[in-house]
Amino acid sequence: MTACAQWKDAIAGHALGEAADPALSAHLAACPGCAQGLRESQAAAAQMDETLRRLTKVEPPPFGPERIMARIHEGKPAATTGWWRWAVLAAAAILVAVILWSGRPPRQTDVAALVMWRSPTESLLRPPLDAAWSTMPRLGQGFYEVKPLGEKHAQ
Amino acid sequence: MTAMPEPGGDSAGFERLMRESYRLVYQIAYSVVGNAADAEEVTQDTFLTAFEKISRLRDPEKFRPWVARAGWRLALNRRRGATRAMGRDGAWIANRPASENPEAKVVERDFESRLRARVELLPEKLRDVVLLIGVEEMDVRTVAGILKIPEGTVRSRLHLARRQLLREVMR
Repeated sequence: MTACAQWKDAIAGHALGEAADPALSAHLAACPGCAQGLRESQAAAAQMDETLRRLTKVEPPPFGPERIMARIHEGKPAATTGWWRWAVLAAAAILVAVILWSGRPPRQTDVAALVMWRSPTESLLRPPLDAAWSTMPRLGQGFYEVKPLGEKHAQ
Repeated sequence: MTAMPEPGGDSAGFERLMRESYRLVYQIAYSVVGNAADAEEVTQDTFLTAFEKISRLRDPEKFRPWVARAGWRLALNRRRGATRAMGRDGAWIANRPASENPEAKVVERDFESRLRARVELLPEKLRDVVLLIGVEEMDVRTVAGILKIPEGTVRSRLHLARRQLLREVMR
């Protein structure tokens, strides 16, 4: 015998202490399956609450306060209190690094040097006799300058 | 009004306050971390930190809720660190009172382990409420003070958590 699917939510809520509305009350009175479902839900809710209470019902170990007082007298700090100091130090270091990085002078671009710059491999691309070629006379161009004969004796 | 003990000074006043709240802080820590070893470490750290910072607290009446919240926060950090996660179930089982009837004991343990697993699967906000409210001496108002949320929110989260758990354990 099972509870009607459309009433399951309302039955669970009622089992956990919610007030039953008139429609649910009327249905529970007429439906043995849902009435049984309510009894099961109430039993499970009671068991659940009891178990939840038991889960945290623990006795602390003996001499716990004595151990704490002993650590206080020894001057030992709490193990978990120092972590934030390291976090603050790390954050400060990062902040200083960012400030130093953003505060450095901007790089100047030397345009003249860029214009004059030549690749060091450029000279390797020229033939070895490049200089000779550029100084050799070309066809039709006089190599020696010849003066007319009459000029020498014209005096 | 009793004077607040000073760190490094006469610790007798602090010891009295600590003894009054030790059990509560231990149980809060246990409810969160789920094992005795971590709960004791958290409790120790809570009171050692409280001793260092006690000068910030003017009213001795506030000591108990102050350390309760501090203990809860440290326990939460420990749980999030997931240390000794495997020891959790064992510790929960070890702390249960044994049932007389062996068969009933098996059924009880089965129900408890299923419930514990379901509690672990709850969203953290719901889980905190459902575990803290189970601690002795804890009521809706105290839980609201520790979690810094309205009492109505504690009630609604508790109801939501119980509803989810009931649905799961009845499957």
